[in-house]
Parts: sequence; C-alpha cells; structure tokens
Amino acid sequence: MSTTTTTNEPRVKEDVWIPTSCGGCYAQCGVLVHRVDGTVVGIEGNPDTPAGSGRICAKGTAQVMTLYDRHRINYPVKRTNPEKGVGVDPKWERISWEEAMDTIVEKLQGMDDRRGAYFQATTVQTSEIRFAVPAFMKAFGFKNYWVSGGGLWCGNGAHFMNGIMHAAWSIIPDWHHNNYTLYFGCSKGHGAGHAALQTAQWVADARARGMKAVVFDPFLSTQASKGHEWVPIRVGTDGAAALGMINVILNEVGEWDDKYLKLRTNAPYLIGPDEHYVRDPETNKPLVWDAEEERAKTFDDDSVKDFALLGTYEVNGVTCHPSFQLLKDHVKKNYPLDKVEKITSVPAETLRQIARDFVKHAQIGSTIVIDGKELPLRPSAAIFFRGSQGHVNSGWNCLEIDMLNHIVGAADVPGGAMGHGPPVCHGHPTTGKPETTPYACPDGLMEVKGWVYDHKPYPLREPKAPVRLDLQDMFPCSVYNAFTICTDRWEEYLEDFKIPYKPEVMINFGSNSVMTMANAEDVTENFLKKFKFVFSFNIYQNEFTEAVADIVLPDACFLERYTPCVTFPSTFSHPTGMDHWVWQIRQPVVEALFERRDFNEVMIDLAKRLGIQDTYYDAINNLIPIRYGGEMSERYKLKPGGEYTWTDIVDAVLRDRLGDEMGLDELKKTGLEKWPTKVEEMYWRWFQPARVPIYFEYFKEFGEKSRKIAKQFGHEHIMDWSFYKPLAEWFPCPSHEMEGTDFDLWAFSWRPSFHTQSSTQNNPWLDELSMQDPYVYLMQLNAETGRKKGLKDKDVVIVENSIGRKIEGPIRLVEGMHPEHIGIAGCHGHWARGTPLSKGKGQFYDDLIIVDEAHTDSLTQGTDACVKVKIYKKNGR
Amino acid sequence: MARYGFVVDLKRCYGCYSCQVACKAANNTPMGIDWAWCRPSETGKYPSATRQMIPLLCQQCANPPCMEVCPTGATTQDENGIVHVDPDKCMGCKYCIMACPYGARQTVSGWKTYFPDAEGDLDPFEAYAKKEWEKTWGYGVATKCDFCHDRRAEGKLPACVEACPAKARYFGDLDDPTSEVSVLIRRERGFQLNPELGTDPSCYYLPPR
Amino acid sequence: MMFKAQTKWRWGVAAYLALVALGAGAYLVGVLADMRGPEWASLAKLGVVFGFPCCALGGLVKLTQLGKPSVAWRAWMRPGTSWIARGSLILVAFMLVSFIHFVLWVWPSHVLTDAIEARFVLGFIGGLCALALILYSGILLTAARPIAFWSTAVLPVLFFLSALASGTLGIVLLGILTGEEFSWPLTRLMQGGIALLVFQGITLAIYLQSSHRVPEARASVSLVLAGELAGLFWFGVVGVGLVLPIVLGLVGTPVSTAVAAACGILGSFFLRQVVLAGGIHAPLRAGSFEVALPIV
Ligand SMILES: Nc1nc2c(c(=O)[nH]1)N[C@H]1C(S)=C(S)[C@@H](COP(=O)(O)OP(=O)(O)OC[C@H]3O[C@@H](n4cnc5c(=O)[nH]c(N)nc54)[C@H](O)[C@@H]3O)O[C@H]1N2
Ligand SMILES: Nc1nc2c(c(=O)[nH]1)N[C@H]1C(S)=C(S)[C@@H](COP(=O)(O)OP(=O)(O)OC[C@H]3O[C@@H](n4cnc5c(=O)[nH]c(N)nc54)[C@H](O)[C@@H]3O)O[C@H]1N2
Ligand code: SF4
Ligand code: SF4
Ligand code: SF4
Ligand code: SF4
Ligand code: SF4
Ligand SMILES: [Mo]
Repeated sequence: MSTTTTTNEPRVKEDVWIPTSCGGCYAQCGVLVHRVDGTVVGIEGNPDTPAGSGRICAKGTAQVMTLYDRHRINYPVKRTNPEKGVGVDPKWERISWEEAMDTIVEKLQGMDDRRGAYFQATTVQTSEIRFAVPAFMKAFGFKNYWVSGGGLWCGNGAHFMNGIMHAAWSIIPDWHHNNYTLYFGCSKGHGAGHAALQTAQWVADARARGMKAVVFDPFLSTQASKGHEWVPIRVGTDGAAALGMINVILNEVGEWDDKYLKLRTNAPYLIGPDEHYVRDPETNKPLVWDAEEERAKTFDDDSVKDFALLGTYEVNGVTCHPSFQLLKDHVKKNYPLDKVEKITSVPAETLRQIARDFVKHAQIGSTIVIDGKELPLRPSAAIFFRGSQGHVNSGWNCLEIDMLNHIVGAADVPGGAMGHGPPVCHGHPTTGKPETTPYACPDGLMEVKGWVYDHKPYPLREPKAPVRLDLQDMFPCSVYNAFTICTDRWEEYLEDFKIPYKPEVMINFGSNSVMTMANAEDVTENFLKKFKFVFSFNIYQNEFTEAVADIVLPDACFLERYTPCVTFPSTFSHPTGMDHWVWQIRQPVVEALFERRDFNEVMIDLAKRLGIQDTYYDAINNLIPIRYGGEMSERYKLKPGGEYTWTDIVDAVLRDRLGDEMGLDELKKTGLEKWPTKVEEMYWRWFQPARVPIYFEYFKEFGEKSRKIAKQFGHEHIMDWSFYKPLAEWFPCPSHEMEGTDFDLWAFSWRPSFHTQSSTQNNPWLDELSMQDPYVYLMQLNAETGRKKGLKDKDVVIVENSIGRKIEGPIRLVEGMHPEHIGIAGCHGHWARGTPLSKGKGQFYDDLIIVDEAHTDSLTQGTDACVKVKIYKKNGR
Repeated sequence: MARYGFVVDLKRCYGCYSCQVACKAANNTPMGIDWAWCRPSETGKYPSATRQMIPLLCQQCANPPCMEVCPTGATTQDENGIVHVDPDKCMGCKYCIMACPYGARQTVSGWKTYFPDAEGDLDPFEAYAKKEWEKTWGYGVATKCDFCHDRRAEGKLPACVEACPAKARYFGDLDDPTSEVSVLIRRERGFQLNPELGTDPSCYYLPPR
Repeated sequence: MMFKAQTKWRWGVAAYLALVALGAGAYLVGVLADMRGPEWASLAKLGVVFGFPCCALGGLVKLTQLGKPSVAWRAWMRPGTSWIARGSLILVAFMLVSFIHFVLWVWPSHVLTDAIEARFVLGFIGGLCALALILYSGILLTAARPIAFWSTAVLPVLFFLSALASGTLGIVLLGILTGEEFSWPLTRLMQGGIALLVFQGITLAIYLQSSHRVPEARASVSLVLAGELAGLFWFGVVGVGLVLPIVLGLVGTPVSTAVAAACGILGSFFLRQVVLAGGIHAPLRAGSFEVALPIV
C-alpha cells in the first residue's frame, strides 16, 4: 500500500532557546525562551545582555502562563449591550476580523471632525507604542493621546523635572560608586522602577560594599527594610524635608560643590528685583558677577575668573544677587527645621543628621579616574519617584529632592545621581546611530535633543488657546490633565475654552484606564463614555473594555510579536555605567495563537483601508529619528506606494540604525547587538557645556501667559498661579489641610515587585504568590493605631474618603507603618468578568483618589494620589 | 566527592519571589506545590521595625532526618550530599514531611490545573508540565528540591540561582575551601537554620546586615 | 508569627493509631488478666479477640493513607532508623502472634484452653509485641523532632495509658455485648479502666502543661485548648473520652457501663486526632528573624 501516512516516522524533536525581550513590565529584560515541539515551556534570563543581566523576575518567568492563559482574548468581539459603565456586562459577541475592521473604518470615516479621535495606551508595553499609533495619529490627523496612569501617577512631575535637570526620564544613583542614597518614595533597585533587574543587582552589590540607603517612606517598604535607616514620613511632604535639609547644608554646614554650581548651574546668574535674570543689554545674555574683577560679565564669558555665588551687587543701576544667595536666604527663612518637622513628622535632629551625612558622603572635591579620564567622585545621591511625585506639589517635590544632588555636585558624575536612561549616546560604532546628547540654549540652560512626549521639558511649551481635549496646550509644563477630562466639568471646560470639536472615537492600546487613573466611576462617566465609539487592542478583557469598548481586538502578546527595539530610547530599561549599550529586539517565539494579531500589522492594515498609507509611511520615516536619535538614510525610508508589512519596517529600522548587514534575519539569531559604553556617555555632565537651573527664572513668565489664556476664557482660577515662581517651594495637598476632622489617616499606594500595575493579577502563578505574601491582599496599618481604634489583625474594615467613596478589605496590623497612614498595595480588587482569577482580590486603591482642580499640581497638572480617609470595622464600629 | 551546598545572602535578598517561581517553572511543579519558598518575616517595634525575606529550599542536610525516618529506603543521600527521593520506592507515608524541619517536602495527589474553570483540554504548556511531572515524579510520593539535579547534569546552575535578580543565591562545593560558597560562609559569618536540630544543613545563610 | 499545623496526618492516621492501640491494648490487658487466674480467662479471651482484627483493620486504614499503597510492602525496608519500618515489623509480628493465639484458643480450635503453659508463653510473646506496638505508636510521633508538641517523652506515656484504657474498655464493652455476666472480674476491669482514664487525664494535663515551654508547642496547646481544635478537644477528648466514661462508669448499670466503654474508646480516637492535628513545626530562625514553615 502506498497510501500509508507518515505517522510512523519519528517526529523531529524540536528543542530551542529563542532570544527576545520580556514584556512583563516596562523594564524589557532580555530573555531566552525555551520552546519544545512548538510549545513554550520556559523563560529564562539571557546572560548575553546587560538589559536584565541574565536574570529574570517572578513576573517574567510567569509570562508563559499569560501566553497560554485560557482567559486571553482570542477572537475579535463586539459589544451587544448598548449600556456602558462600570460593572456593566458588555455581552460580547464574537465577530470576524473583516467585520471588525469594516466597522472601525466606517466609524473613523464617519467622524464629524477627525481631531476628535483619541489614542490611549498602556505604560506596560512602552516600546510598542512608539510607531504604529503615533504614525496613525499623524496620518489621520489628531493630537489627543495619553498613556494611562502614567503622567498623573508617575510622569507629570518626575519626568518633567528629570528632563530639565538630567536630560533624562528618571534618576538612579550610580550604584557602581555610590555610598549613600536618600530614597524619597521610590523602590528603585527593589523590584519596581526602571531597569528593575540590573538595578536589583547593582544595589545588592553596593549594599555588600557598604553603601548606605536612608529611606523616606511612610511604609517599611522593601527598600526601607533593605536600607540602613527607615525614616517614616507623612505622605506628600518630601519636598519640605528636602528643603529643610538644603537649609541645613547651605546655612549650617556651609559646604557645597562650588565648581559645579558655578559652571554647571545657574547659581551665579544675577537676579534683579523683578525676579528675572539681569541681562546684558547688548547680547541679552544673563549676567554673572566676576568676584575677582568685581564686575558683571555674561555667563559664558571665558574671562570670568571667579563666579560669585553669594553677595549683593549693583549692575546697570539695579541691585541684584546671584540666584544661589536667594536660594540660601529663602530656605533659611522659610524652611527652618522646627517648621519642617511639623510638616513632615520627621524629627528635626534626624533631618539635620541626614543632611550632614549626605554632604559628608558626597566627598566634595574628590576625584576618580575612569578610562583615563579624571572625573569628580560624588558618592551621594537623592532619588525619588512615584511616591514623592504623586501630590499637589508634584513638580516641586521632585526638584527639591534633586536639588540636593546639584548642591553637592552629584549629578551624572561617578557616585552621584544619574539621568536614566543615559541621555548621551554616540551611537553604534558603524552607523553613529542612535545619537543623542543634550545641549545648551542661548541662556546656557540644558535642553534635551529628543523626548518621549511631544513637548520637551525645557524650554517650556508656549501656552496657547487650547485645542486638545484635555486643554494640555494651554499649560506650559503639563503632560496630561486628568482634572479636566476626569471630572463632571469636562464638557463645561470644552465649551468654555471653545474647543471646536467633540470627542468621537477612541483607540485604546492595552491601557486599563478605568482602574489605573483614579476613581473608576468618574473616569468612565465623565470621560470614556463621552466617546461615541471605542475600539481597543487587548490581550485580556479588563475593566476598561467591559465598561466602554465597542470592539475589542485580540492582540498578540509580547511573546507573539516583533518590536524593532526595546532598549532605545534608553528611557526604561537601559543599563547605566561602564557596561554595554544594547540594542535589543523582540521576536515572536510562537506564531500568534488563535486569531490574535499583532496590533502593529492591524494599524498598517487600517491605514491602508483608510487610504492614508503614504502619509502613514511618511510619519514613520519622521518618527524614527525622533525615537532613536539620528537622521534616517534615504535608502531605508519607506517609499510612497510601497506595500510594507510590520516586519519590513522593523528590518528597515535595524539596517538603518545598526548597519546594512544587520537586518531582521541577522538580529533574530542573537536578539541583540551590543557595544561598549564610553565614559563621555555615561558620566557626561562635565563633557557638555550646559547648565541646569536651581532658580526657575522662566516659570513666572510662563505662568502669567497661561493665566492670561485661562482668564480670557473665564477660568482665571483654574490653577493656583503662585506655584509658578522661581524658587522651590512646598505646597500642601488638600489632605494636609484636614486636621481635626474624622479623616485621620492618610491612604497611599505602593507596588509589589511581582505585579505590574493592574496587568498581572490574573496570572495564576502570581496570584498564588499574592495569596502567600501578607503585603498584597491585606491593607497595612500601624499596630498601635489599630489597637487604639479597637481593631484586630485581619479585621475587615471600610476605608472611606472625604467624599464618601469607600473601599473595604482586611487589615494587617504591623510595626512597619507610620501611625497616621494606611498602605494599600498595587492596583488590585478587579471586577472584570474576563479575568475571573483576579476578581475581588485585594483592594482598588484608586477609587479613593479625588480628581479635581484642588487635587492637581498647578505647575505640572499631576494628580494628587494621596488622600485622607477614616476607617472603621465593617458591620458597625 | 564534593559536598554540594547553597548560600543565600540575606543582605542581598529583597524578597522578590523570583526564585520560587523560577523553581516552579523549571521543575514543572503543579498548582500549590513549590520547592523553593519565600517567607517574609518582621521584627522590632515602630519606628525601628524591620523586615526580611527568608527564602527556603531543601537544606540537603548532612544528617537528614527525612532519610532517618523513611521506612522504605526511598530517601537516600548521594555521594555529593544531596538527598534524593526515589519515586519508585516511596510509598507516600509522609513521615519524612513530619520529620523535615525545613518544610522542604511536598506530595502531590493528582494534577490540578491552574485554569479550573476553563473548558476543554489543558493548554499546551500545562499539558507539557503535566507530562514532565508524571515522567519524573508521578503522584502520591514525597517530592522535593534536589538542587536541580537535571539542570546540573546539563552543566547549568540551579534555576533559582540563575534567576535571582539580586544574585543572592550561590551554589557550590562546601568541601572545597576555595569555592565561592566556602569563602562566603567563612568571610561573612554564614550560619545554618536551626542548627540545634543537629541536621547540619548544606544551606548557609549570610546575615541580613 | 502565624503558626500553621501540619495537614498531612489527620483522621486516617488517627484512626489507624486508635485501632492499633485498641487491639494491642485489649490484647495486653487480656493476657495480663489471663495470668491472674482462671476466673479471668473468659475476659482474657475477649482481649485476644480484639488483637488481630483491630490491627488488620488499622493496617487497612493506614494503607488508604499512603500516597502509593502499591509499594506498601517496602514499609519495613529500613528498621535500622525508621520507626515506621520498626512499627510495621512489630505490627506484623503482633498480628501473627495474636492471630495464632485467636485461632488456637478462641476459634476454630480450642487447644489452648487446656494447654495453659503454651497459652502463657504465647501470651507473653504476644504481650511483648502488643507492648512494643503501643510504645511504637507514641514514639512514632516523638521521632518527628521538629514538632515540639509530639517530641516529648510524656506523649508515649499518654498513648500507653490511653491504649490500656481503651483496651480495657473494649473488653468490658465486648463483655457486656456478648452477654457476659456482670461478674466481679468485669466490674473490677471496669474500675481499672476508670482508674486508667483518671491517670490518662492527669497525664494529659501534664502533657499540655509541659508543652508550654516551647513557643510552637505553646501554639499547639492554644490551638487545642482555645483554637481550631478546642471543640474536638473539650467535647471529644475531655467530655466524651474522659468525663462521660468516668461518670457513667461509676453509675455502674450494664447500659451505662457499655456506653461509658464506647465513649472511652471513641475518646482515644479523638485524642490521637487532636494530638496529630495540633502538630506544629518549629519556626526557622535566622538571627532575630523567625519564620513559620509553609503549611506542610
Ligand atoms: N493603586 C495604584 N494605581 C496605580 C499605580 C499605583 O502605584 N497604585 N500606578 C500608576 C502608574 S505609575 C501607572 S504608569 C499606571 C499604569 O496603568 P496602565 O497603563 O493602565 O497599565 P495596566 O494597569 O498594567 O493595564 C494595562 C492593560 O494592558 C493590557 N496589556 C498588557 N500587555 C498587553 C499587550 O501586549 N497588548 C495589549 N493590547 N494589551 C496589553 C493588560 O491586559 C492590562 O489590562 O497605573 C497607575 N495606577
Ligand atoms: N514590579 C513592577 N515594576 C514596575 C511597575 C510595576 O507595576 N510593577 N511599574 C512601572 C511604573 S509605570 C512606574 S511609574 C515605576 C514606579 O516606580 P516606584 O515609584 O519606585 O514605585 P512604587 O513601588 O509605587 O514606589 C512608591 C514608594 O513610595 C512610597 N510612598 C507613597 N507615597 C509617598 C510619599 O508621599 N512620600 C514618600 N516618601 N513615599 C511615598 C510607597 O510606600 C512606595 O514604597 O515602576 C515601574 N516598574
Ligand atoms: S523586570 Fe519586567 S521585563 Fe524584566 S523579567 Fe521582570 S517582568 Fe520581565
Ligand atoms: S530571587 Fe533572590 S532576591 Fe528574590 S526572593 Fe529569591 S533569593 Fe531573594
Ligand atoms: S531539608 Fe528536609 S528534606 Fe531536605 S534533607 Fe533536610 S530534612 Fe531532608
Ligand atoms: S513518604 Fe516516601 S520518602 Fe517520605 S518517608 Fe515515606 S516512603 Fe520515605
Ligand atoms: S535548586 Fe532547583 S529545585 Fe532546588 S529550589 Fe532551586 S530551583 Fe528549586
Ligand atoms: Mo508609571
């Protein structure tokens, strides 16, 4: 018989390890994925890459359960229940891709005004959202977008200030040389934060070396427990603590990095009585005082022998002071330690000692030779993130903490606070790309070259009559304004500010904004429901899709798709220090299962169906230099009329950036390309001439401009314009002004290392951990406070905020909590039908947050994430 | 012959559970079963309270009580000091579980899926894991960490050692005074858990501070 | 610190231990009685009756508790170190002897009725086996050193007294059920049983009291006295197992005596369950940090 099948033949045993990048959180570590006979059976760290340095975290390992999660979305579905809202059952009905795409095209083409389209994305898949949708926005013609949660929780203040001061997204200590770190509300090196796994190793190495960490946190967090000292602090008061310490350093210790302040900051710039720079009438350049020649010169005059930092001078008929003198006097007058103690609850003596230790450890004057270059060695650093930035004083808090670094010259030099990811890159040896470096503006202040947002942190955006739906364009430093869109006043705002179009179609990639922005009801009712049509790329049904999506498209997950690069821009995951640059790609380890499709392909498809593919290609060509630094060569630009797929684009990016031979096929073999970093790149501060402000001369002026616009539209008091001032200030949150009320506890939130925001709770392995770990599904309350309230361990309590919104859950009485606080982990308490495992576990902290003008940072429009609450036992007191 | 040992540096460990999940993945253990455990611990009073994760695994005791109590001869110690369970000889009396001071042993009565409410066959990964588990262990018997015997046979380090982001876990030969583990134990005051039990564990911990 | 008790040895193992204790206890009491004089012979016979079936049943129950009963035959491979292996050998030996004793004395043969010396020799060997079995059932737990609640010399004494008590009460119960006259030996036996219960109660108090020294054993005690096991302890072990049989036993009517005996036997089962379920492993200590074991 010749018709026998081949079943008797030995099947070819496949057993391979595929290099790619993890997408379990935004750290994007390099991993090796083990595939046996077509099934992914394990994920491990890739020892060849510095991104993750061969290690892997619990979330990363557990992603195999996400790939095959039986609750994943496998087919396009449409909503059949016309009702939308929190907790509503959308009654999904499976549809074909054809039907889904036809509907989407029809809705987009039928828009009244294309500007009413809106793009929203998750921060988890940071490297995925850089091309497909922004290019589509450009091609289709709209500007409204946001990256959910980020911005209001983690972006407005922190990234803005880091951009100004370090040309970077974030700051981390140079753990390779650091001896003393002050943590203000961040977990860097302890599971969350940037470059999570590399930093975990560096900080452990540093600790083993004897590095000391002093951790300001209301909670005995992981980093506090690993630190040398835990300093319990009231939430939202970090800026005041920092200003108090600056006062100690400038007025008691009297030690600072003279050279750094003189040459790398605007500390010597002369300030007139109008609070502005005293400028040279001829060149309009800011003036400084040359103490040796006893006359004013322009700041960049090479003949300046000694920049005066202190004193009072007469220049062109006005009395003026170096800005440093003003800062010194300001903190002396306004931030004496007894006052700071009252604000922060940290004893004055503790602050004094820490300030002294900080200066001492900075070893001002010491140097180190790295690769033959002599550099300042400043092994002290003060770092911050989500904890200190999520307040009304968002922007200033971050600056005030960072100012500690600049006063002792510990910025982007060995041992100090480093811009992360590294903002200076000279590019791959063969192509010189990606290339990026900060430079000086005419006033001498540092400007970044490329930035992730559509506006740089400096110079500030010129406030304009708003055209965006969140009014972002009328504010000079804002990234995102939740206080507009998430309140019931949104339509009023749109009307008052004469926005000429309405919200119409929302494209959502991942983002679970119903859970991750703030109060779910308000976000849904006031914002999301205002869109006539919402389609969403997701891997799971979540609270967002079930509340408002009309069509949900099954996205390929990160193990099923391509990304040209996850490590540039070096924002989230790139190592810092004398290691390697790494260009790391993502490739599918299995073909997308079921009917899942890579959303990049779908967006290209959409552009083609809408007939806008040529402008789409053009937008891609323009985005590549912005994203990766360095012009694109003609050869690899996408050509009009071409029929490109996503892999064609990935291939073009790779060849253009890494060299003609380094196409996708080549990169797939190793998953990455690396080359050594240089000392000029990593410790760049003294290799470039720009200065950074300690005195924000331009804020007031921009505040004025913004205020004018607000006034013009009848909303003069939309913000507290006193925030726009040149000298750092601490402003209280509404929660700090509720003394004497029933609301006697501050609530705040923090991240467990083995969860990613609201993404991972349905992963069964991680859920199993959450049940074991007593910090995740239980709320932490100080034991003594609990006893005073007659509460016992595991009591179920109601946590209620001042506007009557409540969450509930069991408490755990612990010693590691500030007595005035209750700490609530992560972003849990899911209710989506599509994620049954995570349903009802843990608490939904965000529901307590209040979003309105009063809970908004007037400077950056960041949202206040702390809140005053009262707690009581469920079923009566 | 070597005496294989393990060092967990508590000073480096920040309690991320990566070891626990890496172990689960590498050994295809079913739902609820872990051979590497992380146990959080707290001590002290506010404001000088502190906490520390204590990662646990089979301590490969030199005098293993689990072996002493095992009636069947299923539990043995190899020439490198690693304690093994032979699933073919074990009758599942669980006496070793009572006698092991370190909670290192688990029994599995049957495969439990992580997606109990989903319909149809197991997903490809769980199907693979189940097959592997049945090939190496089966059900009803005592199971535990063997310092990743199979991985080491392939020349790799234990999965939990390779995963640990903080490099808090070390594997090596305690009999060799120049090995990394020996040096660490000597230099950094390594200690064993509950030495009074006389088990002489091959796992050492380095102090948290 | 959250202590969690072991979960693997529960009702099944308790039933096994109680059955073995009943069988061996009754047998031992039986042969001891037999040696006291001919008037005890009929009660002694009842004791022998208990030996084999109780142990066989216990063994079967134990089999169901094994994860892999198909290799149960390996149970005695390591008597050099393992108390289960030793216990298995003792159990087999006891079952063998008590079976022969039964077959030759009770049914179908009665050859031992008159071969008194042979009966005593057999009884002596069997009694030693029974004693060993009873002691093993306590030492078995004592050998689990990390569980402080078990790892104490008082426990084998407690189990020994309880085995003798339940054995005695077993004979009494069977005696009443099989219509044995309310003879003076039976009354005396019942009095002995009550005395044993009283001793058992005192030993129990000492046991719990002495367990107070170690933190995890203290946790066991509070689990037993006031925690999850309090119901079973106060109602089952103390109420049903001690107070009721003592009180009813003192009443002295056949019915009350029968109920008292049944209660006492049940109590020995509850006692073993309480001891097993109260077993908590010692915490692990790393400097000033302590962790409880994961649930085992
Ligand atoms: N309580 C509390 N809330 C917080 C924070 C906090 O600390 N505490 N932190 C805040 C911060 S800083 C941020 S940045 C935000 C983040 O908030 P979000 O950006 O909304 O992030 P996630 O909650 O992780 O939600 C992401 C969604 O994307 C989906 N997803 C994951 N991978 C993919 C993919 O590959 N493709 C697609 N299409 N979808 C995918 C997931 O299923 C998940 O539902 O959360 C904020 N919310
Ligand atoms: N594992 C994991 N890693 C992540 C993420 C994740 O979800 N999971 N998300 C990523 C994202 S989007 C971001 S933005 C980063 C965030 O990174 P981090 O900012 O480092 O994140 P958190 O762990 O939320 O750290 C906040 C800390 O601040 C404390 N805190 C809260 N309020 C205050 C305050 O007012 N003052 C002070 N001093 N402390 C306060 C909290 O107790 C907590 O310890 O992490 C990123 N990395
Ligand atoms: S840190 Fe983030 S990217 Fe890295 S392995 Fe863990 S989940 Fe993946
Ligand atoms: S992986 Fe390392 S750092 Fe994380 S819990 Fe385990 S030993 Fe500790
Ligand atoms: S830790 Fe437990 S299982 Fe491991 S060798 Fe020691 S006694 Fe045996
Ligand atoms: S369960 Fe198996 S390995 Fe453990 S003591 Fe019993 S027979 Fe030995
Ligand atoms: S050595 Fe292997 S088996 Fe043992 S705990 Fe680590 S990963 Fe698990
Ligand atoms: Mo974020």
